[in-house]
Amino acid sequence: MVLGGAASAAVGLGAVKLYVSHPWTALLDPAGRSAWPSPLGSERARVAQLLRRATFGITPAGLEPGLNQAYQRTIDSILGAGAAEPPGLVSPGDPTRGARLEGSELQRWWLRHILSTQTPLAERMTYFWHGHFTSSLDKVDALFMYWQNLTWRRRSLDKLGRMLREVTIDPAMLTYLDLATSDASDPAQPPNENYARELMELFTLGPGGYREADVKAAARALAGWTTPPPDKQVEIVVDEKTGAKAPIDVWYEQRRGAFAPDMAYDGAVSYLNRRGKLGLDGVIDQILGQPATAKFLARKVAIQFISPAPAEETVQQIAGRFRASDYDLGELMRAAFTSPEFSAAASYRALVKSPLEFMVSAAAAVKAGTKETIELFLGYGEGMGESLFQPPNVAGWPPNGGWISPSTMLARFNFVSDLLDGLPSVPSARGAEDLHLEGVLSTSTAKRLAKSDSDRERWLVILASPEFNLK
Amino acid sequence: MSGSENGIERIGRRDFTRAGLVFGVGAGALAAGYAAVPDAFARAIFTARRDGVQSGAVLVMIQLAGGNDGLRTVVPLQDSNLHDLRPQLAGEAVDKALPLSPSEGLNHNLGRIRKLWDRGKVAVVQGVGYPSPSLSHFESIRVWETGDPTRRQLKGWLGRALSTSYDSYGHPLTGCACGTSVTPGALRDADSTVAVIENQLSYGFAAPEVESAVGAVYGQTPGIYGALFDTAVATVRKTAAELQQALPAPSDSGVLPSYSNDTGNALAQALKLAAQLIIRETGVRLLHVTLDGFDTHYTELSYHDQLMSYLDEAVGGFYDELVQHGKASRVLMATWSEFGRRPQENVSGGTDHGTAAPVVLIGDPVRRGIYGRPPDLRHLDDGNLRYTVDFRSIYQEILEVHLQASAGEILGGRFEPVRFLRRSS
Repeated sequence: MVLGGAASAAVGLGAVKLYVSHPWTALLDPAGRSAWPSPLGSERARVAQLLRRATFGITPAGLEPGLNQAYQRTIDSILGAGAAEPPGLVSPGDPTRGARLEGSELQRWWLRHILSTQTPLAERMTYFWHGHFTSSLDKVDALFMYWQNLTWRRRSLDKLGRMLREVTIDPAMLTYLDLATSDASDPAQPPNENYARELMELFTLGPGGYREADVKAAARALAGWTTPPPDKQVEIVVDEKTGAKAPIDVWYEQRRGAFAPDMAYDGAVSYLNRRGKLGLDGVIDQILGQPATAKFLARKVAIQFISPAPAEETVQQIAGRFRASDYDLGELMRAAFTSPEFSAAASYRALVKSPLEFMVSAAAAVKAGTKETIELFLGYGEGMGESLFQPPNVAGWPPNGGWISPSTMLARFNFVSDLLDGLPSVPSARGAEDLHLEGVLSTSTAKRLAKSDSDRERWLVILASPEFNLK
Repeated sequence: MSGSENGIERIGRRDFTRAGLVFGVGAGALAAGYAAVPDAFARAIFTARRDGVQSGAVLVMIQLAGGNDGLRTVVPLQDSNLHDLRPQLAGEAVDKALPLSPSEGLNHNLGRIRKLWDRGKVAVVQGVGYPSPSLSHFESIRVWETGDPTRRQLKGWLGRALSTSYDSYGHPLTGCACGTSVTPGALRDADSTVAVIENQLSYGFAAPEVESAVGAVYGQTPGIYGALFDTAVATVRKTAAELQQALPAPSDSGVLPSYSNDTGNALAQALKLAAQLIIRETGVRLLHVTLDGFDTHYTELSYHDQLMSYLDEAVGGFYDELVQHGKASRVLMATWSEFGRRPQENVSGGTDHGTAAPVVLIGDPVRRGIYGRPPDLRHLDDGNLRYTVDFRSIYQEILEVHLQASAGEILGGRFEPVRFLRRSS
């Protein structure tokens, strides 16, 4: 299907609401543009869109038999697959390994697992939570970031309540948002508010869902949780040249945060309309009691998996099912994937692939080697605005239009060129536009593709095209 | 909208429309129109306009991201309340501060900026904020970026300046973010094109056939992202070639002796690139750079000191380089941050989110002085400072006096003037 230029009728793209949360939305302008015609009437196209959005666009061998199944059964199979553990990065036999872990090793390790996992939805959700419950190598040691990644994956489709308890006492989070350094035992000294505020503003309730007094109350109620004490201190060589040694902290296995009663607040607080002695559980329970929580997360999921400006009705419906399931994160995703808006014509190519999704799907399309793909990601991710384990700030990466700038597009194009240059042989591009783009091409992409006289050139056009950058 | 403003002959976007070269008036259509303007014609306009804007004023907005502690940037020297509120943080800050007056001093790591003060190149506006302040980073950043405390405006104030007072379509380098891969919110506006240059070294197409392929593919991209895509690609095609010609090959591996010995100083890297753009007369007018890391909830002493020295080295190096090339008279730097920090320190030796804080303006265009009222630590509002100068008063002065742009139209109102800039005779 080729889209005729200016003449084609705008299909189903309603006016974008201006008040929705992300500022980029205001810049999206369907008025002067024709819409992509939607192929989503076909079940095959719906399944392809689902896999692009839910699995990085790679299809593990184990899932392949399911692909021609009905849309609903594909959802069941990716949701039912569970979360495969990645191979361990830090072996128990080498206790000082964790202390010597480099950020780039961690990035490579996760990328390798993303490229090879048999449970791609869990991996996609680990990535989602990585951008939601943020922490960064800029402030946190790689070992704690590694543990956090393991935890987010294990809880990626679990209950939100369990996830939030883990998040609050996750050693990387305790460090990144300073809860580990707080202390509410002396009423004259204000505790650290950093985690308390972001827990509500960015992780659960959203702006407007709480008052400043609630920030202060939660800061009191949560103080006392701190990073786990090391199992041992070991002397290691820290400078190869001089042979200088220094003691380092060693943990024999992954730990959660520890509770230090002498740093905690012993009294009652008034928090989100409840007064009492609230610890970790009390705070999380109050948050789960607010209708704003389900709605805030439903909207975030909708913006990243359905449309940059999801209909209010869609958000309400997903939130309702999420809350009714006792905040089951699997049900949250099922509600998103089965919502009518997910498969509506206007949602076709309504999302921009993140750099990771773009690079992984491009590498998979031309069957690039795992090792080469990983190195390309490390080289190009930052230029596209994304370095794993290093979000730009506590709010994570701005999705969709936030990925598009002159600089980031240039990096995407140059990546494609490098990717193709690095292939031992360029695979045939015959049928690639049907397989990867459902055959829906703009006039200019179609024309340029028709003019291309080598597989390399055809792949360059396809992978660099706006069509392939969208999902 | 042809006309003369600031002695500069301008051809507005509406001229393209009148000439029938743009196929619509909507923002997205206009972006498409830019890409669709016949090349030769676009080049002619481009050259003409570039001749015009070369004499124009340049603004560099320096974002101190994360919420800069105003009380450790411009330190109150005589206020005992500061010591009561900050038993750990106040002592050293006050003792070491570099005095600007008997009652105010600059952070001790701002030595080069202090020297610029001695030469009459620095203005400080105290107590800058806005009504009903948000203590959320992201809400408050949005307020500062859009210039709208009611949070209805979604376009950036510099983006609006570009679209109302400049014509960035003929010249995508007019507005430029350096040292970042994403477009800063302040420059965001679908009616203007903005260059975003993370790194000069990687800002070029890997191969000519890559450029020609994407040039053929992008231009009339359908869908809601069509305009964003096409504008980004058209901008990079125009500016990458331009910069390769204009800029010298960067010297050895990013070392910046005149700015900073610390290659971790990202602000110095960004301002070095900004200086090149200004010196080579690429036509830049509105620049945006960022120094991150000001969210000092924890052990603020060491973190904040380091950031202050980064700021000082970067600004000092940048100013010196402009002077060397005879460009300093045209360039105004202004710091901004989403909020200041809580006057009372917390238990972690840091400070939590606050409200009003000083804005520092640097460059030949400023009238040296300390404007506004010193922070009143005795009458806090729920523990935070009350603002005494609306941040839009700063924008207004910059737009009107420095850029000679229509401040009323861009800001949507008039604000109490704060006259920290020189008036040309």
